[in-house]
Amino acid sequence: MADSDLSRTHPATIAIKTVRSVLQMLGFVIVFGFFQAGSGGSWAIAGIFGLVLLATVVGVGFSWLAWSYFTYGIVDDDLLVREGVLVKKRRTIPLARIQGVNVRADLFMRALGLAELRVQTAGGGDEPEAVIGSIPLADAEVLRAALLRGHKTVREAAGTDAENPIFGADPAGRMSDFRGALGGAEIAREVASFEFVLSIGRLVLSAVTSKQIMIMILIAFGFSGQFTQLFGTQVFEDAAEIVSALAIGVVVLLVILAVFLGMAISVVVAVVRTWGFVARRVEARVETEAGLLERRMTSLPVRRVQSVTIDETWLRRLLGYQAVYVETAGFGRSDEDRGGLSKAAIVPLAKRSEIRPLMHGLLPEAEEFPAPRGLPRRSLRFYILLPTLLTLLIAIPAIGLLAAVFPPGAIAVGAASLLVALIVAGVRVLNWRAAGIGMDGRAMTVRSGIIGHKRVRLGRNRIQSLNVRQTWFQRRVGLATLTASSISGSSEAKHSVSHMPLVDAERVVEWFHEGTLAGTRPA
Amino acid sequence: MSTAANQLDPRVKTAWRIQTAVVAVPLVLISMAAAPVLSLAEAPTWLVILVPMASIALTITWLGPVPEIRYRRWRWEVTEVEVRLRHGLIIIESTVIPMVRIQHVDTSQGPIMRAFDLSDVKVSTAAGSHSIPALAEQDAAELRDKIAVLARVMDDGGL
Repeated sequence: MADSDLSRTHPATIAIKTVRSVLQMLGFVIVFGFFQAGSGGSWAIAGIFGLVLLATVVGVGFSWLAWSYFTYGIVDDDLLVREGVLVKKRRTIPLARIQGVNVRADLFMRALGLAELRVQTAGGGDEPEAVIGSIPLADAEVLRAALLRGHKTVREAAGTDAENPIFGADPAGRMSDFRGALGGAEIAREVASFEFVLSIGRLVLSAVTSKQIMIMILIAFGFSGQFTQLFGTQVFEDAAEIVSALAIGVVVLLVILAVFLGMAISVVVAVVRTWGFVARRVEARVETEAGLLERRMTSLPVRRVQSVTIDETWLRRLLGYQAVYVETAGFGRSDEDRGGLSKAAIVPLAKRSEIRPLMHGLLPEAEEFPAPRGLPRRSLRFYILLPTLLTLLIAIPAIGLLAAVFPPGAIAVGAASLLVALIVAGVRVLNWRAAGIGMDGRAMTVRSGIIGHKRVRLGRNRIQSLNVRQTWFQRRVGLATLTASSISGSSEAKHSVSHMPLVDAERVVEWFHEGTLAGTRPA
Repeated sequence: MSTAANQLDPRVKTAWRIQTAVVAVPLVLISMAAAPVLSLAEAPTWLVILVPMASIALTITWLGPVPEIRYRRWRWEVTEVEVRLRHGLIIIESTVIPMVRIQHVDTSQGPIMRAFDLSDVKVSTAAGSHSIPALAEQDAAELRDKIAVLARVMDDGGL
């Protein structure tokens, strides 16, 4: 692959980069100048000019260096980008992997007839994988066509008429679609094979039992504890302090009220957002619709689903309810595609017994969650030991310090740390009980949680990579930590099972390997 | 290129040592200079001795056995279908990445690595990335070509 085939960007790039960095500097300089001008006078202003000049010269130097070391081009079926002065970076992107190419130009570039190319792959998400700029607009368009054409040609050459695995058979499956509900071109309604409507009661219950609410309730209780304490000790104080204490008490009361008000507001907001929730299965997509003021419609092509999660907060578990979420890959997002949430709820709330029939209607491909197997006894001490030890480790110097200065305080801190350590240990025991992993021919389930259980189903060919990690301690008892990476929107989601038997972890790797072998059929 | 588990290029040990030295030597010098300063400030004797001793001991460890151990514990393997990585001594990590999941390959060289004709190979999936710290430029190029070829094979879909 000859590097001599690669081209440089337009020399005006040097000017553009320099101007950009100088402008950024200018902001600081002007503010600085304002303060200095008062005391320094003309001397300071001359100094500022000198600074700006210096910055410009240095900026030109660096930009020129960066420009002269930046080359790009299409060689064979890859996009090559070579850049870097001190650290040489050479990026190779197979054309087949390119999901999107955007051409952008800001004011400067437009004035000079230039543009910038941003290349996105499935791994990039929001950040483009390669930015080529600035080049003449005409060249940018030609390059864009060449990059995207390469994608199609390769697929045609592969001689398969399999569906495009990214976009699905129908164009509407490509992105979240607001148009249908909010006017604009009428999209012909396809027949849904299954539909599920969330009742208002369930809607409100879902908003009230969500995770944010839990946090707010805890905060409110924390403050109310403070409040009663204050009132208790004040009885023994003199009048002035009682008055000021009441003022503080009033403040605390207001804070509690504010927190409850915040809770109420967030419940109302959640209810308005999920009003009239409908989920339906249409051909190869799961569509959801929700919202009172703004109606959002999302469209999830089944092929883009990366993982399916069945989740329950502790309150929901007590009441017997669960929720189903689906993670998709967020690649190829254009600026208008903001609604493409990476984690979408297809069932915001339903009774445990209803989940399976709902999944059968909405997403039968993922209705089967392989039963997870729990962890052996010997993992338990690994779960408890480290966090508890860490808690105590932090507490001991604190206690020691206080013991020298204020003994009663040391006892209080000691008691408190013991309590915290006990709570931490208790939580870890629950973690251990909830942890588990299971697999069948097509997918793997990772279970985790404290009181409420969370189960994540990962299709075998949706796992990006698998990692097995063993510390020296784990090695001695044959345990390991397994982590599976999958896509979550535009970033990585890691699903781990800690301190599982090494033998089982190796079995998972073998299972994964078999899947890889089976999947690599010549196209 | 189906190979048994490969190691890194042996020259990486020297490269690592130089990289460490660039940072460590100034630090050792500073800590040695700090010793008289500390004793002037009437710091406890054990501290005055500990600071330079500790930095010297750490530097010797990082310059001596550590690169050797790191080198010996690094394994990578590229088969027709997967990239497998394994490294670590106290904490051992092993990673499996199917070829069809790899989106692109980056190679990068700092000035020290370049002097030894070595480069980092960073393999990116849609989720994240994984690095092999130092391969000979030739091997890095071969790996990149291989992945480019396999990337043209479309994966089957389905959950």
